Amino acid sequence: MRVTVYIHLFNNQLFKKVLKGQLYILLLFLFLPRLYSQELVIKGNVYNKITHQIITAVSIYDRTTLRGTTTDNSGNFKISLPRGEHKIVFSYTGFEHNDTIIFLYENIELSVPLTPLTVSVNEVTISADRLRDHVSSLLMGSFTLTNKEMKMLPSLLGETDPIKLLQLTPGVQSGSEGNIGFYVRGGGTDQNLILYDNTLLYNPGHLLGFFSVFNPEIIKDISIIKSGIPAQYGGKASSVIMLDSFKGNRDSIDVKGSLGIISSRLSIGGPVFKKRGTFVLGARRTYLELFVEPLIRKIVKSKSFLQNKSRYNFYDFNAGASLKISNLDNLTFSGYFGRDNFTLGRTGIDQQNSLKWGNSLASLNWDHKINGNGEWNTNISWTRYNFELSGSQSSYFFGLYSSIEDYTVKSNVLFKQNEKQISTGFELTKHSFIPNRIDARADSYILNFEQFSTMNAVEGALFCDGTIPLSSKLSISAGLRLSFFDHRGPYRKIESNSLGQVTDTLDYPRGKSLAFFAYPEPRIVLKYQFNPYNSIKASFMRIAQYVHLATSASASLPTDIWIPSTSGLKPLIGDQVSLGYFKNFLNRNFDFSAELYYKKMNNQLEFLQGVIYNSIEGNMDENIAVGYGQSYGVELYLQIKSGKSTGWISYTLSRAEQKFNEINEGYIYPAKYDRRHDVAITYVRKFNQKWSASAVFIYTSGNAYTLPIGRYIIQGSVVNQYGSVNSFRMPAYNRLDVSLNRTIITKKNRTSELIFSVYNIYNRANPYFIYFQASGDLDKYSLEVKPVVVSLFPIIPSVSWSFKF
Amino acid sequence: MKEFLYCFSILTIFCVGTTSCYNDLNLNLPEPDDKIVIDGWIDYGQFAKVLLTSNSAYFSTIDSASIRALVLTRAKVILTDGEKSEILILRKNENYFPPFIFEGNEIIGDTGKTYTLTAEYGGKSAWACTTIPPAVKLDTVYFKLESESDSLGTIYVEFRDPPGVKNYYRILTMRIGKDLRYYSTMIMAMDDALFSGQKFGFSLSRGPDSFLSSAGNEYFKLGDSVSIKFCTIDKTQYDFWKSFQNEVLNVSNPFASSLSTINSPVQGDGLGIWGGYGVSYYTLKIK
Repeated sequence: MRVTVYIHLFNNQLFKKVLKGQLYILLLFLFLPRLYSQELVIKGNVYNKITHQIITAVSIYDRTTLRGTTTDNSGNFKISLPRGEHKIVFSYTGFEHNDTIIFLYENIELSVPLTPLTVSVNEVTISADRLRDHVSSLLMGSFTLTNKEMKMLPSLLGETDPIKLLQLTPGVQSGSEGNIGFYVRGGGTDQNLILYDNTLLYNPGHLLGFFSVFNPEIIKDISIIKSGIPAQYGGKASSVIMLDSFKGNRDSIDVKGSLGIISSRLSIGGPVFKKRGTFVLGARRTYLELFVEPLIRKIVKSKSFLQNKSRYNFYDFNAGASLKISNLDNLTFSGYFGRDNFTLGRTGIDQQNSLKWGNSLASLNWDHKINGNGEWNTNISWTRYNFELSGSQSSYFFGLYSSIEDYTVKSNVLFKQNEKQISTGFELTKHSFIPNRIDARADSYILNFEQFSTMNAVEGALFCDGTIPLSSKLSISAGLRLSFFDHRGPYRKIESNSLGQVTDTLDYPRGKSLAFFAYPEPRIVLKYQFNPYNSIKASFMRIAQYVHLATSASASLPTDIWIPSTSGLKPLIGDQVSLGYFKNFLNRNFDFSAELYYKKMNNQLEFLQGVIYNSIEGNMDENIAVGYGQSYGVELYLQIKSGKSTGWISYTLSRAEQKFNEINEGYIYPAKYDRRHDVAITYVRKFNQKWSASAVFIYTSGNAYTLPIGRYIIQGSVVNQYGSVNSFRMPAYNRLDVSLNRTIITKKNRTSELIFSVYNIYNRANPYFIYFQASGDLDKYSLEVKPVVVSLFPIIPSVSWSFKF
Repeated sequence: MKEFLYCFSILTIFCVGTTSCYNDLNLNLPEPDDKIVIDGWIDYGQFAKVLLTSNSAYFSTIDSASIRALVLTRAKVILTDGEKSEILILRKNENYFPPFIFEGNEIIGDTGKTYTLTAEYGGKSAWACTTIPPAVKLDTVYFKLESESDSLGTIYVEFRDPPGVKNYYRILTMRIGKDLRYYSTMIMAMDDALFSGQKFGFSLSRGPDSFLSSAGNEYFKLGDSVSIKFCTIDKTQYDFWKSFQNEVLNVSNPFASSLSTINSPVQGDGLGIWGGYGVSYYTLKIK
């Protein structure tokens, strides 16, 4: 383009005249750099040298000009570079780097092979790698773990859990042991946007969160972004977590699976429609019920109410498919269905309790290429989370059903030219909430709970993101998201006076707006790159969160209820600034980063009386304390990316606080997930083609806790008098997990793997919670109080066998 | 349901959960401020009764001497009903714990009045107000043996909730000759939101004399003679008992709310409850 302009100018008579005039020097100054920086284009694709499959999201980076790009969903790339010599690096986690020197005289087309690291002897790349090269990328606080990396790290009872592994990276904290709820930079568990193939998933936990809903055979990779989140993502204030699933192999049928102590899984994938399409199907099932029934008897011998008729299991199914419609169009489908079933029977008194919960989702995605440098992506999705709790005894019955269901359409157009990139689009979601549908009967008496049956809302956004290099060293990525939320009828609102008497009932018809909110959400990331090895970045983001999780307990339970913003319940607004330094060294084998952040969350909520209380006593948005939260900290991260020994160390020093007028007498107090120190060390060692080992060490400060400081007597019972909220600390949490992997390769090149792992190898009794047990008889003037610490997991060895053929 | 969730949490821990008592936990608990603890009530047609104690530090020893020291025998307890005022008198009564009780001898509980109780001790003062709602009568009281049991069973009651008004209830029981006083059933307070203006029935799970020993038997037995005290209470008192119930039943439950606060109506340097009861009594001889 620039060359054309130059020639055109030379042919221009005016230009010839000017050449003779005084402006000659000035014009020379203006045009010479253009002549010098004549741009040429390299385009092509990147593929797996062994399977010949294309590879997406490969980082392509020119060490000479510091320019870079990535391959698109079809494995294609395009990069514009000046004429001359370039050192270009093609890299993707799990593959050897391909360093290529190119003398660029004309536009060229390349097909670049990458060799998987499993083929190279004795070496492995394992790291929580950034989405791209972390020095040159315009993302902050972001990490990616691939399927291969996940499987190399130790796991509890052989069940690899992508969400748990994410908690080994800085700034991501687990709620407590065996709890899937996690906290990103001081934000609540409901502030994480978990996208499974671009579809929101509301509850990522099985078995009260002891296992994640993600079948490790199906998940291709997991990524997280914690700051400067691009404007196309919104609705959750703290992070976006993206899980991409495998859609099947274009060349051959693959069967993968695993046999473990408590569960087994299987997946099958392969080509369809003469290799124009692929499919994958996966399933997982636990056999916990084989243990639960005998165990109940063992654990609660003394408690007569717990007997018999108890059962627990979970299962899930995944389905995925892709279809190439034309050279420019690609369709993908993704589906998930999972269910947990728990029943608890009480013989003798004819009691039966059950709790069932699960997620279901489906999405259809259409990718369309525009002129080789643009992409138009449209996604239609459906997601639902629901639970059903019921209890019955003789003629009494209590049932509680709750669900959230979304239909979403999202469309996004992206144009790339050299380093410049612009994307814009919209997102529209129809939410249906059933916070609680209660059915209660006592003999023939039916109790009136039906007043809070459903709540409806529409949430939407227009967004635009742009990335522009301002100079050879300074780049900016800026975006704006204009979001809105409309709580609309049908809805019945109950008005009551201070005595609790119902004074009025207002019925809003279908489509009538009850509350409307709209917020502009700016996002910006600035990067200053000194050289290929060092950069600093700064970012700001604002995110409005319109859907809240009403938690009734200090742990994340499947019975937590999702509710929308209403006239009495304002959206949460999260603002975050962060500053980071990024470095790579020793031939890019080592990465180091340090990030500082400060985050403020306005309109944070606490449910003062618990959710069920609210559902009985008044409107859903009452008895809620509204306050603010803030968190700040520093995150340090060092990783070794390749070699015989790989791994990373992450350290977070942070503080998270909250302030509510109704709690702690209005004074600021530490959030329950406030942790001063959080350390994670992972280490993977490949000995030879058959043997490898890995270890994970975790150390975190103890959870903040409220403890009684005094006691008093009411009607013969001892009642605790509590100190300041969360003013005490549990003992610190630490543990070491190790695993040993033995790869078995048969003559037909089929591989299988035996994984021996030990969880909590030094058998540390980490405190799960502390309570005080008072015993004695006051009438006899004797009372003893002692702190009781409950720990969950002691040392747990396990073995599992996974296979692929 | 909370009990159920708790059981569920135990199960999810399945065989690997371990419980241990730490004696070396370094808990430097600060001393609480001195508070006057009021545990008082006034029934319709009866004099006021008030147990008055002080709070104590969490790990202080409990023996007969220290418990006696908690009783504020030298306090001044004043009751007013808007017209009259009286100073309550301390008496010994072994039916209560601690066995000292301040009692009125002039003001009798009645509907439509507001009763203000003030307790003064050691330069500190605590006060609270309550009202007595009109009593509601039970329609039916009956006993049913549990299946698979030939002697244990449950008492069922039925009543009609008065329409057009907000009602809160408490039910207490006393096995005549076995219990020293009326004990609250396991559900310590009820709201009529679920059955407003309707006929309603439910079972009574016998509450323990103290929640220190909550694993006790919740059934009544053939041969028991049970006095049932069916009370109406105001919203302030309901809020107290509801939060009190959460505290005593869920204190060891990690899945319960961590924001343990008891909604006490007592103001000033005080804690506890002062409540008025509209009452109706029934006696059931279980044969």
